[in-house]
Amino acid sequence: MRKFMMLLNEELKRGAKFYLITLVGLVVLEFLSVIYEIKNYQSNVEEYMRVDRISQIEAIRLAGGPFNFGDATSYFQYIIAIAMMLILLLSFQVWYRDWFGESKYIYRLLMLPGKRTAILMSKLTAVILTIASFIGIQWVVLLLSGSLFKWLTPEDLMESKRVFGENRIISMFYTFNIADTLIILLVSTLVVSFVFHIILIERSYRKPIAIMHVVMDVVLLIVPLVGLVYFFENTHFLYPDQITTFVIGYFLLYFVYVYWKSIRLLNYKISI
Amino acid sequence: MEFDQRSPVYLQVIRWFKERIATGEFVGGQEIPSRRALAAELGINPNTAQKVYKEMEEQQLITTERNVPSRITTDPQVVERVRSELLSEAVAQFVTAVQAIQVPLDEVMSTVQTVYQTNERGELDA
Amino acid sequence: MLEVHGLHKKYGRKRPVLQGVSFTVPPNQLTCLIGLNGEGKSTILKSIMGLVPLDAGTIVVDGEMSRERIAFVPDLSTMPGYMTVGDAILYMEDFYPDWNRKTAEELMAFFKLLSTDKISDLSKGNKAKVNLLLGFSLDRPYLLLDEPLAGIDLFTKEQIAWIFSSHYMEGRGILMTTHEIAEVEHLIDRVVFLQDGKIIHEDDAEEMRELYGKSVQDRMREVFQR
Repeated sequence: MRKFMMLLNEELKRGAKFYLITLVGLVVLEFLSVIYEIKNYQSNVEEYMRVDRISQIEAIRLAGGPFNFGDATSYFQYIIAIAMMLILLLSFQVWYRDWFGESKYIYRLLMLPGKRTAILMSKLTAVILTIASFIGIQWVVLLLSGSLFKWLTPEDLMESKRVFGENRIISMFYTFNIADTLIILLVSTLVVSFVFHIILIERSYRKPIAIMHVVMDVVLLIVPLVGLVYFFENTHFLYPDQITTFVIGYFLLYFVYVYWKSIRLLNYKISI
Repeated sequence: MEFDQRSPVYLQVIRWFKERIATGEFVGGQEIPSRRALAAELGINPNTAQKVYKEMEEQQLITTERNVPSRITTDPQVVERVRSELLSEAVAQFVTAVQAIQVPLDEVMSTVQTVYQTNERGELDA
Repeated sequence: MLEVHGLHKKYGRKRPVLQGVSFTVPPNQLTCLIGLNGEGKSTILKSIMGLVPLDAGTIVVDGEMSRERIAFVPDLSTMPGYMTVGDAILYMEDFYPDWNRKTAEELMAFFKLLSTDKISDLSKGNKAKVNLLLGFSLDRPYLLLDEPLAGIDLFTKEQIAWIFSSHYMEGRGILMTTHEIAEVEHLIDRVVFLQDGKIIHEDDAEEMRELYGKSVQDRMREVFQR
């Protein structure tokens, strides 16, 4: 446990610079996109009014209807997608930065007394904490964007002062529900674990063998799952609820396997 | 200290001691540095220093007591032995070299005398 | 005694790098592992430390199959560049129960390193010194050194060579690989010759000199004559 905490501390220190730059960049990008959307809509309406010589109400209709918060934050989904790509990149970087570069920190990590499991767990935790912090910061940005929206958008152009509520996409994606957030984090953990698994395979075996291992593991995930679900659905052996439970159970079992294999690679097969 | 790499280091160090014992540079009863200090000073492996001390003790060149620095022997017989040992070694090497070029003994002796005296004069001048 | 038995290592389908390497590293002696370039010397050291998996072979340290009594000094930095020398020392102190702070401070003073020196800013020679410091400050009876004198300047070499004459050597069995044989000839106790993935000779250096009048370099030429 102590080793894990110390390693986690080191991982966070290691990524701090990159993390802050990315975070500030994404946040600024989001705020700028809100301002841009508002101003853009405004200028569209004004242009319609000027060029077509119509009333404001007509212009609003032509510009696609009154402006709401969903419109203001329409770029957010793209920025979030960028953030997800960056997190994926981080999952790779968190390992490879210890191998490539002037100093090979991986030597030190592998030679430290204690269990090597702590290496895997500290890196995994570092990534998950990054994801959690991104989610938290996104909430803050949303709230502040709401205020920004209310402040900058002229009232007559607004659809409603309501920031959250009506818009489907917003309530689905930007959930403030704790349970949903935990599920997002759980799924992220599984995805990142799988990425780590691939990295450890790559670092343990020569390329052709490594590819074989990865393919085998992917097949092991998909084929039995798809096959069994198909079987259950068609033979009506299980109720639909039970099928869902089965799928979830299969995933969890699969990731126990992935974890076990990752630790094995780290302990016995990994090579600097 | 520079070492000849083809001859054991510990023997070279012992020789260094012997030379100084023979000339009296190291006086009987004089304290010598600890193994550690010797190793650091001469730039040798502490193991080698250990070997040196052990061998010198066996040859009675030094006396060692617990918790007290080792000392050069005060036994004059030992000093004499060392002197003649070094002399015999040097002479044996010399004789081998000279016999290899097949110079008769009396020529060898007179040359030795001349060179010895020239050297001594050279040292006095310097 | 650090004993290495039957190390086998193959990279892919090529010829094995190590084909049954066996030798011993006695305590309190400086053993030099000698082999031509690329023969697998580094691989041996790394596999002893568990950084490279072996296809076969065992490593026994004082009767136990545990690496806790061995410290490794590789020929590159193992600490992140943004760390300072002071950070690195604190790191080691946190993670290693057998870290000797006093030794670390003494060596830092001897090597004239400042705890505020950033590792990435250090010259090659200074990085080598830091590596050595990190290895020697662990109170472990066996030390593996991979090319400690490679590519560094004369004065740094002298400083490092001094370590091998110092009390820091006491109670340690050292296994070293180096190409700079001339610089450390007089300090070596034992030599182990590696060729074609096998150990072909083990000699006691002083015996070799005493009985045969041969230096380590002479022996090298003899042994590696094809």
